[in-house]
Amino acid sequence: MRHKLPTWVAACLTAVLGISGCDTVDQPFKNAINVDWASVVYGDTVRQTESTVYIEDFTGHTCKNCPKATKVLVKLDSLYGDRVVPLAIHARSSGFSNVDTSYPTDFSTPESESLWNYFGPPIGLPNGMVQRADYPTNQWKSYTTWQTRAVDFLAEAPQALFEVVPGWNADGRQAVLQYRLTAASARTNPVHVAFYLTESGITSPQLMPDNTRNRTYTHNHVLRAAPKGILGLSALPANSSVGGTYSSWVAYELPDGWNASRVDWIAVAYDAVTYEVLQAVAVPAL
Amino acid sequence: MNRIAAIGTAALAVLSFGLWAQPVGTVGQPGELHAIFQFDGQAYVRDSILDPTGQYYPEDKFRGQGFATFTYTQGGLRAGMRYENYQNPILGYPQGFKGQGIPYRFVQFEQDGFDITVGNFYEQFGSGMILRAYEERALGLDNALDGVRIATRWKNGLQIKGVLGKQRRYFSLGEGIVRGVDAEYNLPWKAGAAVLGGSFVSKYQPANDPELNLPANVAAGALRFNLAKGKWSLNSEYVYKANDPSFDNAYIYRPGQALRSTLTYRTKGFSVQASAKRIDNMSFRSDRSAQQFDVFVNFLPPTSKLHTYALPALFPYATQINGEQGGEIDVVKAFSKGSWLGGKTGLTVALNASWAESLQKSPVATGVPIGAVGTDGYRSDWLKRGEIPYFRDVNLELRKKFSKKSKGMLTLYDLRYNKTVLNDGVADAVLLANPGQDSLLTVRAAVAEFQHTLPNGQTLRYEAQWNTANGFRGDAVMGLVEWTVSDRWTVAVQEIYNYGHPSVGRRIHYPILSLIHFSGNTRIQINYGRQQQGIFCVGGICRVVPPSNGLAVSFTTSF
Repeated sequence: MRHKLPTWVAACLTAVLGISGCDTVDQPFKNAINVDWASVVYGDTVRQTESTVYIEDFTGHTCKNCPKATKVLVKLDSLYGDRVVPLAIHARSSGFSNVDTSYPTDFSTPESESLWNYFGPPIGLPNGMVQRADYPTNQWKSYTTWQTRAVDFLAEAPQALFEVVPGWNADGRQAVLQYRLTAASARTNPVHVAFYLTESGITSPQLMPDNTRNRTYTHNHVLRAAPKGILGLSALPANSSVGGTYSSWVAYELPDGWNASRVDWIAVAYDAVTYEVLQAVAVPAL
Repeated sequence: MNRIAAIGTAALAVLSFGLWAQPVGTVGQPGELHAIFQFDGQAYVRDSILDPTGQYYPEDKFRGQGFATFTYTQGGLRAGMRYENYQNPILGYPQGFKGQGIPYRFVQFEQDGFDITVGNFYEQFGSGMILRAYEERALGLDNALDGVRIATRWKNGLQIKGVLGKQRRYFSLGEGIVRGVDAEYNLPWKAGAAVLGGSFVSKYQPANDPELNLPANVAAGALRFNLAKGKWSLNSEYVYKANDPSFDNAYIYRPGQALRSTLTYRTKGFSVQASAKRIDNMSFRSDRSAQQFDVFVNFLPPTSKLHTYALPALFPYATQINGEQGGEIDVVKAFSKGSWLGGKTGLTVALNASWAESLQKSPVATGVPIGAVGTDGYRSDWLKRGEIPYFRDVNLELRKKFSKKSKGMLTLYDLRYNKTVLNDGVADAVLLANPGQDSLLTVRAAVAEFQHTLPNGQTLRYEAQWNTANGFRGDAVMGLVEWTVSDRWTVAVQEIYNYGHPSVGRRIHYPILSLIHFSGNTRIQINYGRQQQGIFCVGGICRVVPPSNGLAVSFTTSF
């Protein structure tokens, strides 16, 4: 098999491969925020050890029964604290979040509409999803059942656990969330993580069950943004074993109108096939 | 029916290739056809002690898998194919193999000094750290390339190989394309032997991630040398891989590097071999989201001794593809007959020590967690020790021939086994964030083996093994007796008793009875008994073996 061949043939082949064979990436993220890391001040690390329950409350300020659903969330908060992670979603399409002189605050966001359309629409408000269980056939749960369902989910062993650290750059109003998701049970399907920013403590009118308008009603857990889209990012691939982990960070520049001291991050890990939520966590942005 | 027709057509095509287009040198030469056939099957028995919840007991109760490889050779022409059948894969084997087909077929011929292969082929550049397409059937690993391979050797001692193809992924192909060239040159050094080599490998996989700008093309380059002079030899290889965010490395953009060197001194009756390695982010697959053994482009050689005896083999070391550093030293001394230690028949002593640990890691910037996606992952100092110990192994082996008819062996082991990393698969980043949470086991074991040649061609071999472990599986003892009745029959019985398992309910007996029959090129083995849950490793690559009970049959033949 010995024979003579010009060296330039091999040199050319190598050069062709060398030139075409590699892409160097300078900016890993698409649409990235340039975080000023040196100015970021970090909060306390939250390391989960228990299961949580995630409740999406589709609501509206002209929905007179919606405060009843809110009361359930308040009760659950008093019973289980941060093991209950609520999100209040005001979607214009519901017809209960329109803005007028009596109800001047626009709580709706494009993300609220996306969630409404993606998972719904529900029939009537208040309505909600608990862990997004039973999607897509029977995901809508009346607020009267939330507590029972929450107790059931909280009794289960955690399927995934978050470790999160919030960071805040006051100059740029940049909120950063560093997170690590660890599978606490073997996963057949991939796991995705979605991030939501909520604002609480917003005083604005709300139609009450007795048909009165409460001008000083306090709206909490209002969905403001979903920095990575409502469905978030891929985190753990299919067939991940116990201990499989994924860590990253997410950042968002808070608009001037938001009260940063009442903004929370919510991170939600869910089964990318069934959409059932495996674990959620909420932490203050600063 | 279509599948049978396809098999027949492929076989016909392979066998008749030489008649259609015969390369130079094949005309008039007789052809040869060779075949290898293997079948492994297992009938599973529900065992409520071994598997209380039945989670491992398969619904199909019997599983079988096998293959038949046919190779036709005529002069400079080789052609072949392998039919494989997994219905269904036996427990512990990668379940992606479920099915049947002809995943391997090739034609290889030599023409005008070129060695050309089309279809499937295996290949290795250097030590394999940059490219190794190979099959390890016991593991269920087969990353054969499907494409074209061209190799040539020049008169001046230069050998060049080029490959292009996609990798096997069970019964389909991986998404990525692998391209590579390798050159090796024998230097004209009269005092010894010197070989220089270099490789370049690139993979292409479309990048459509909505969040990340992923590199579609990822390249790696390697340089290596082998020097040998007298009793000494030294070989080393360095590999650099460009940014390759993947599932394995949690989508970090840090370049990969690997360095492995081995120094050997060998003289009559004495040898020393010392190896050192550093692997940093060197998972290299042709599909960035692949897992398990799927579509590995490269292979990272282990620097620890592969233990084959049952009890020490329960604590194997698996190469940590995302990063590790370590080394190994292996000393073998044969004390000759008549020496003080050798006695009348001689004595061989082998001392082996190895260790592996994590890389030293620090954040790429203040506040950025180690291993965060979209970053360079971490910084690492080559000269600093890693924070996490993975594995340490010191073992001493004594081999003694007592007489012409009997010999024995005694091995002592002292292991440190990081169960959290090696068995549970917990990543460095988690352990660095939760220091002290890993479970570092101390395992000590002893194995004695004796073999006696009996009259009428019979042989008796027996083993006694014992290990202690401060947790995990705990202490165990094993005995084995193997009687070779004739050149056609062997019978063996073994028993493992995990008497020191921390959980009283798991203190289980694992008996296995084996019968082996040889007939010409045919070997049939039947086992009945319990298989322990564990990790099975070959070459530092491991898979999980679930517990099972039942009758296993293995049939192998060839012509």
